[in-house]
Amino acid sequence: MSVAHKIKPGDAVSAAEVTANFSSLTTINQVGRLQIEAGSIDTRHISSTPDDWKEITVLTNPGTYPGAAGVVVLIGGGPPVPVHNTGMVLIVVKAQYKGLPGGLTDCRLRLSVGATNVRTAAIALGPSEDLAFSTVYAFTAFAATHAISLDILGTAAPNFQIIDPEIHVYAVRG
Amino acid sequence: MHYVKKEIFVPGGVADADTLMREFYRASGAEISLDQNNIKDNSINYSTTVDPGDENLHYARATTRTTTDQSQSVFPVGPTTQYILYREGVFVPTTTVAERWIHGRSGPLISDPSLYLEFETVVTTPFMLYASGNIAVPGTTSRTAITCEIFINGEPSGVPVTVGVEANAGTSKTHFCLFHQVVLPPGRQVVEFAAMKLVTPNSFAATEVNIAAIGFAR
Repeated sequence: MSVAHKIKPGDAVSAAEVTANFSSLTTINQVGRLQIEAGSIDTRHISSTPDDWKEITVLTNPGTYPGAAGVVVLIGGGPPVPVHNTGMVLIVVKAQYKGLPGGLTDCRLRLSVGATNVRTAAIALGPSEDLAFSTVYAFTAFAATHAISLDILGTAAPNFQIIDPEIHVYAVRG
Repeated sequence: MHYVKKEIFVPGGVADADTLMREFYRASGAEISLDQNNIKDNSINYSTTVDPGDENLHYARATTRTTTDQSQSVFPVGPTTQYILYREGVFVPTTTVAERWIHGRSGPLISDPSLYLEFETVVTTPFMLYASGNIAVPGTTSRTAITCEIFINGEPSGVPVTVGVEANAGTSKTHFCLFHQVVLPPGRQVVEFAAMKLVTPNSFAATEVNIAAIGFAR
């Protein structure tokens, strides 16, 4: 970036040269990092930083869901969650687990992003045992939307319940 | 510096080439020596901050993000984990030892090597750490409590989580989730998971443990 034409006294000034000089000053969007003074950029200049977690959505499915042998979808099937592509996504899952009369349960609570099961919580508790379940998972988004779902994989007698499952989705605009 | 036009050019005025060029040079100089006064607040997006590689450490004072020793992809089909450090598949081997921290390992045996998350920071950086996994307690004969904790550079983070199971004939399992925010100074960082059984006689193991660290360096 520099002034394009030097205009000297006595020059027959060309409007085109004056215009070119002005135009050369508009190239501020070409500034590279070598032209920025060390330490001159302060956090106030940064529009969005990764600690700005924003709650994108809360996926809920209030109710009581008994376990079963096989898959029970708790949350899923809705539209995919819009996120900031290449930004971080933080998922917080909450649910209540309640043991019912019977032997040990066998519950696998699975969090999936798209078709990929990313976290599995194994819960096998006795009939008198309840659990306030929570877990977190973070990943870097690679699309504008991601389907996020929660299900149960039961392999034994369905002597447990999942109550009021929730998925909170937070994201950062990178 | 801000650029402030000093010479006022008015319609019909006599052109002064020297004055005109001085004004051009002043404007050009203002752009060449950009400093904080030339940058509008909130005008720089985080994604434009530069990685503090060797060639630009000079410019790393306020705009760097953490250099990382990428451990493992956080998502099997996604791009590189630009912001998230992640370690999956940590075990705490089956043990009956009580009241002693058992640190995460690369396999289910006590002789397996330690498995931890290691990375390096170049600026003081706020970090969000989390760990989650499953605790198994086989054949519990009495109520069993397991305390889980994230260790940072060999020291407990101070935010433990204790989970427990009642006496059961089979293998009881439960899930734990730890969440911690900490400001780490520049240097090498080691984040570990560890668990400790309290005084009951049963054994326990932790499986499918993952540890993650998300840095917020500017």
